[in-house]
Amino acid sequence: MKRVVVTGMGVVSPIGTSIPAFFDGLRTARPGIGEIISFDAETFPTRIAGEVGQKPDLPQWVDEMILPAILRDPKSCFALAAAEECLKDAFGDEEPSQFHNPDRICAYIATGLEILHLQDLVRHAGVNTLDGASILQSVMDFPPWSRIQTPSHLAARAIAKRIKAHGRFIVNVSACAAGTQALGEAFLAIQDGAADMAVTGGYDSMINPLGVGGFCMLEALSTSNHLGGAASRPFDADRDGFVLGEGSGMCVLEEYEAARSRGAKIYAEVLGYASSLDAYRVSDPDPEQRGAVKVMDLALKRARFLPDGIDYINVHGTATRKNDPNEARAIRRVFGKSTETIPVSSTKSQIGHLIGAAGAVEFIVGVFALKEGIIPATINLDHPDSECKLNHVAKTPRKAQVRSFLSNSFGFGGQNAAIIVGAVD
Amino acid sequence: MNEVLITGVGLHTGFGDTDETWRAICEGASAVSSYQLPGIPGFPEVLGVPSAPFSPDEFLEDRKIKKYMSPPAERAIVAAGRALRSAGLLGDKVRSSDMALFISTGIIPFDVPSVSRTLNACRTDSGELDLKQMGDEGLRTCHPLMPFKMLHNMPLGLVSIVFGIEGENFISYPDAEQSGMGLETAFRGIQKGRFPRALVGGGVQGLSLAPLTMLLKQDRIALADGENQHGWVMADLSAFLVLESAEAAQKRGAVPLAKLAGVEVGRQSSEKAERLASFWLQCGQGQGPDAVVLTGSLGPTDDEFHEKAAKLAWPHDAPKNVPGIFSFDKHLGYAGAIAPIAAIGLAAIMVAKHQTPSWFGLPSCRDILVAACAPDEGSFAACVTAPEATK
Repeated sequence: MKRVVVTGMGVVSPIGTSIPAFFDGLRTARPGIGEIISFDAETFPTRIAGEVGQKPDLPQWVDEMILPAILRDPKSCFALAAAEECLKDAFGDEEPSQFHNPDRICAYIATGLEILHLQDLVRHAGVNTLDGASILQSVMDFPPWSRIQTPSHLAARAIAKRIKAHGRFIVNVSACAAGTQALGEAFLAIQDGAADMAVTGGYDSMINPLGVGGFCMLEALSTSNHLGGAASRPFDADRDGFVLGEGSGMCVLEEYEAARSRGAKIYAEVLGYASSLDAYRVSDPDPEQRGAVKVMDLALKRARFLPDGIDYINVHGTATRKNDPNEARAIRRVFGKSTETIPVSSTKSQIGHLIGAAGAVEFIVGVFALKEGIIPATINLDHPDSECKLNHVAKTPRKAQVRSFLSNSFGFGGQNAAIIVGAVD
Repeated sequence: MNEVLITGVGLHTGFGDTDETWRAICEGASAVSSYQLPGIPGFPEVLGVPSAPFSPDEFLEDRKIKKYMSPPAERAIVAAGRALRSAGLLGDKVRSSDMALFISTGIIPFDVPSVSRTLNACRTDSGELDLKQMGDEGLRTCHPLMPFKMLHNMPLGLVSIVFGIEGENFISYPDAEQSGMGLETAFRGIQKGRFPRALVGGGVQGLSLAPLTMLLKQDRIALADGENQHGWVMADLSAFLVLESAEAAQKRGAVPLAKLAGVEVGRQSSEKAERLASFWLQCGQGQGPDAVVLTGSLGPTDDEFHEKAAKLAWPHDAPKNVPGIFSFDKHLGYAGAIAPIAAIGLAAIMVAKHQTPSWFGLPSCRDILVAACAPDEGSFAACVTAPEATK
């Protein structure tokens, strides 16, 4: 089996639109959540989110044909900016194809829901019908993608083109587990010898009327609008749902020997990955935590780690009533006595829930902990819920030597993913 | 490395279930008809293949779960159930974490009446969107379960819940290349011993507004009444395969339909032909295939390109004749993310039955290369052979 290492990172998040800014935000425990400004949410039950704010600059290599569609889709802009940063980080001014055979360059990228362009769609709406003739006219006038619904994979495809990925290309849409799954599957492809290098990660934004409205209908979002930056409260007794975030996290993974031979700087080594399904209910996690336990057990086994070998767990920690105690119980079942000593935090308290990008950005959080020797905090954890007993890093970051971390992602609908990463000497 | 077998196939097409589809294909029938998008008057009629009537009820222990299902999810349940039944794995036997699940899905169709109702509720007198009305009245007009029908990952969750599948998984999107990735991941996972069996496939609604508008814009869609009757004919379709390691299949006494000798995925059309040729050789089928089945090739340009690619893929020094090149797309329509899985399923049936559709002009096929193209450079190929075939 091949060894797989992280050689580049890029991020766009509510607390920073570059790796240095993001790391600074983690170091200083800066909240990235506030009143929604990207659309008028005044009458929505939830009016807060973790927004990126000013869109990052788009790299020059974006194909003009897809540019209009990309500009209408914030998450795509985040993806391209994060990809550009991670490629610069890993390869500087050189190209991945200078070091790797394009047939063995891959892109494994997670994303979220398509954008429905309500401003345009509303012009075509009749009672229980849409006006096909006006839709047709609108589509024909607008180059080159649909004016009414922008597919989600355009940015992923642009990234694959940018790196000349003639090998595997996957667009993973497994919701909240997608980012970790994308990284994990890219890791497996390289570990299996089926690829040499991948750009992998996720991008998402559901901070739009339909996204916020949809989650409001599911009663999944916090309505503590008055709390602003303190509204996302994973594991706190007063939590009342998650807060949406947006952004992108992208990494370059490379086969270890290839990375070493080209003199790449190596941030960390991916050691184990697993995914599982609850097969329980559409809207609730399995109260027996079988899927969550299995995915952590299997990731540990594949990484050849005993539970006490993990130095930090970046939990899924959404701040919903059901997820947090369930995840805490699953961790206690897997880690036993070590639960008392392994530090745990949920950075969703700072940046919100990035859905399809969550696992990818949280992976970068873990690498931050390895690199900086600082464990980021669950910033709003004032009154830990007794049902969620773990060794929480509450309120402020903690200095610690971190040689390995586990990152969990659990999707709405029962998809679970866990990835284990270690330091490289 | 473990040998990978196809032990189950499940389809739901314009003709109906797996057997009905196979019979219709053998007869050379076509399910293509004129199709008007429901709830969208004024939109051009297209040539398309809506799926035959179906119900997932026979596979649901608790029918309440149906309220969470979009049409593509319902279609996926039906084909997944048929694939598991065909493999002898339906019921308690599948309730295990040994089975992986890799699903592909298309662009999410929206329910026109409910979306237009909501849009109407948030429209000003001048026809503009009023977000204040949306947060207030607009949300109240939405069905509370609408988000479940819009989320991409729901077919994955629903198939896992209905059939008790707890293993490795993902759902990918939105075209043929992506079902190739699901297939390749399953194939590699079984080969490497990560899991002994996998269910691979999905359900798509190709005949929905977004894909059709995109293809219309690119002048690729076949219109029922107009000049472009030779473009793509989109379909609503679902298909699943059960893949197993030879050891796992043998252990439970399963009769394999075919062997999956190899799966190759990649991008870059300029090199596609060379990649196919190299792939076929890598799979060890030195004799070359008896037939090449293409999918994603309904326009004349695609046909020409595919034919060239397939002919180039043929190892010229092999002793057999150049293989016949066929496509089921003209019969089933093209179902994007799922078309290749359906084509592989039909190829496996051909191998298992030692029979080919009469229009193939071949008595039987032992080795079949299934090659698929996505609209944007992505492609994949799978090598389906008789189970006893050896390298």
